[in-house]
Amino acid sequence: MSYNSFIYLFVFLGVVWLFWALLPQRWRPAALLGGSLVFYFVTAHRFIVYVLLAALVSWGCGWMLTRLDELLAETRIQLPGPPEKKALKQKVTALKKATVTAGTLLLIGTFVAVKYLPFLARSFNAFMDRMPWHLTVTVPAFVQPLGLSFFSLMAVSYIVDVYRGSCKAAPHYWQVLLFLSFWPHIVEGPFDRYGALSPTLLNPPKPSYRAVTFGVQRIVWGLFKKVVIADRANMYVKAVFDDWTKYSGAAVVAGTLLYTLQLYAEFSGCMDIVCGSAQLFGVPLAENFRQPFFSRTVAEFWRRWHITLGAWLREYLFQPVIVSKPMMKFGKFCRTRFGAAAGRNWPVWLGLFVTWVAIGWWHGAGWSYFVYGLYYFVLIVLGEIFEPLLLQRMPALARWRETPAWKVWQMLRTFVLVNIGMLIFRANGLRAVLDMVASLRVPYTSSLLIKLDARDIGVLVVGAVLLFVVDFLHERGHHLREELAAKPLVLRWAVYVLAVLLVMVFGAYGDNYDPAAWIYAQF
Amino acid sequence: MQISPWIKNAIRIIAFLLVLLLAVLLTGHYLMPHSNRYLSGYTAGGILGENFDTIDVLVMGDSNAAQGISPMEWYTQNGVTGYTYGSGWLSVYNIYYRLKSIYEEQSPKVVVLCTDTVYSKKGNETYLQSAIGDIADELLPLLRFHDNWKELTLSNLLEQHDYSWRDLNKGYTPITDVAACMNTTYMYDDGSGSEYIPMEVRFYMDRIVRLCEEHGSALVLVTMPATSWNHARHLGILEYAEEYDLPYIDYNLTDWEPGIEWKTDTPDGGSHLNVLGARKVTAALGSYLMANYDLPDHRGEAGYEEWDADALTYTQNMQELVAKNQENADYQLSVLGESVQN
Repeated sequence: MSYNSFIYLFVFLGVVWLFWALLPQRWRPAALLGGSLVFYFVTAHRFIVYVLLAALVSWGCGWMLTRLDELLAETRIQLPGPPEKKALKQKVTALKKATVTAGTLLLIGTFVAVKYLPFLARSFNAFMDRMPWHLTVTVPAFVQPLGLSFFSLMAVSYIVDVYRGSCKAAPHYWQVLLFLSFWPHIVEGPFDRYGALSPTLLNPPKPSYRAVTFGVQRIVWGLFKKVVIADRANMYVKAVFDDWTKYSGAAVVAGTLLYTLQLYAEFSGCMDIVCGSAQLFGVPLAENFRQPFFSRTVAEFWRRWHITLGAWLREYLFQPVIVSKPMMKFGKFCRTRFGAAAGRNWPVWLGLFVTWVAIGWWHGAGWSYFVYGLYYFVLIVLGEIFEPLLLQRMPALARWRETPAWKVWQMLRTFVLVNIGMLIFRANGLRAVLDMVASLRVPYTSSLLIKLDARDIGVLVVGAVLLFVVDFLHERGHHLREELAAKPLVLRWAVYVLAVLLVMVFGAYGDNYDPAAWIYAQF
Repeated sequence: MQISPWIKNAIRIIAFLLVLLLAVLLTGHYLMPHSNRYLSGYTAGGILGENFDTIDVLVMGDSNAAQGISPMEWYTQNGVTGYTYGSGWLSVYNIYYRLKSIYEEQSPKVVVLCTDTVYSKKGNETYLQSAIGDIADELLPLLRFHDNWKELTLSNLLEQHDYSWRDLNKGYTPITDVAACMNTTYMYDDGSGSEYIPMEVRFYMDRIVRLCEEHGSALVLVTMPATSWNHARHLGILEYAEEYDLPYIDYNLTDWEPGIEWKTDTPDGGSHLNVLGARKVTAALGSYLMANYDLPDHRGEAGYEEWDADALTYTQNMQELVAKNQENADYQLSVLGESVQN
């Protein structure tokens, strides 16, 4: 059941909302759980077992961690002296660590086995082929369940948060199941945190007119991005990237720019649809985008693009890695051998390297995704190395950096760098990346109207401008829905009707277009 | 009187939805094609250009019908008027609504429903998704014709719709290509029993049956020869036909086989029929209809002058098309290394 399908928008959401609104307050989470399980089962059938088991593992770990804490508290007061108390605490801490490690390994192990095992085996076999001894491994190929990359990581965050004490463990299994399977975030995220979501998820507010109207408005805006912009751009992008040897020069540039537009419109559009859907039920999902194309550096871009993935990796991978014992030792080694700056920077860069490789590979099992992560790692590290040097050489730069012109230049530079990243990300493998980059020197002499006519391109240009204007206003601190809600009724209704008509008339659906699957749902 | 906030909000939502519906219907009206030629795929829309109550046999189906049944053959030989309303991927839901609107202008004595549509659906959609999408398309013209904004100009925006275009071939689309099909055992009975007709499809088939009854039309179920068909589907339709006491002809079975030669009579490896195949099925169906229903001969009759003129042109055109198709068939056979059959 796709988020932009009739059945989701007009049947599923309507029926679940009615159930939810008509049930007594204490039963409302049951409506959300029922809706989530139906959504997942209808979309992914028997693979629902993965979600049920992931919830069982994380709930079990959470229960165990809480029980251990309770045992510690109960037993401690009965112990005679501090040495016994300390020994018990050490024992309980070790058991808690073992619990969180076992749960995380089980979840991440399943995730890796299902998503990466065939790729790892392929890479291993390719490596062995070049060695004098020939060793081949064969592994079973699993079908990747819908949303595995999302619910597995959210399950890990739940266990770790309970372990760290950032949130209380859920007393009932169904509560964790609802958190993991909640249909608005199971397919493409965002990565929500149990502590932040559970208050409204488990104790939803009363149905409200404002929540419904604001939710619907956000869904319509998301549909505009997906159906009018992304699905239309997809036709051009698909032609250029799937048949890259036919295209060069301006066609490759246009294809790359349109892919950036497509991915942004689609992913942020999906977030609008899912956040709008959750808002209908009074549940505020985490925001995943904050006007990323107004970023002045690629590091800032990643703090504004897929925010919750970056936050997850920062909290559950980067930070544990850089404070780990081996990394401390590595820092000490660098400091003594290469100086204070190396001791300070190199462990952080190593942590960044691990994080960026994880970001790359999270998107897919392939070497091009590894290069994609590496690309951003190199850009960020180069920025950290060269920025102080540049400031040293050109002291005036410090003043220029605050001028509007310099800010625009930085945004344009970041935009170009991001587009190169998009080319690596979308191309069909590393060979295709190299071919496409090389083909940029060859002028493209045929028509640039590939799979789309001039009117379609016109819609894309107007759509992109509209997207930019809305982002610009958000960047300036406007709250468009609230501001519109304060306008006279006739004006408001005219805008709403126009928005729906724009989606219906200019949407790239029907016989003349190929329906495009959600990109991030495949990750 | 104090109105509760709930009622106030409900009224507001209903009022907004009504305004939205009005805007959607109005926009849909302006986006409808200016000519009936483009109302549907193939030349199905041409039926709106025919004079009222002139069609005696109406064939409803998908591309198999549009490329497989040529009603003008019946007129040239028996004076029986017919029209094939066939369009690519036309579903049972589409057919119900289109048939309903055709009944506003025509009163066919016989309606032939091609059953290929019963089990067909696009891509990886479920039957429910397909049903909702198709029904919404029929109820809201804006969804079906939304892409026509590309054809709109300031000058034609307010132009009157002209739905008087007539199709010489009466909905039939002749194809003269030949691409042999070597799989001739597709109707093998593997003992798996009948294929279940999806609930949503069955519901709309029932509605079609009732619609025909209400308008006094005899309904005949026909399966066009196509290698995508199979014995389980045949049994599924047969059970349905027996339940409603409807005549059912499956041209894939030897009992009814109109003499399709799969090496020469298909343009695409067995999915559809070309001119040679269509002539055989049309002749076989024509014989059945003439034998079982009281269908008048309209040749030379007042009010059917256009049909007489169309028939002459059709006959001339078909001679050329048959010759071209035969040439392609001979070439196909020579490629396959077989003797040329006459």
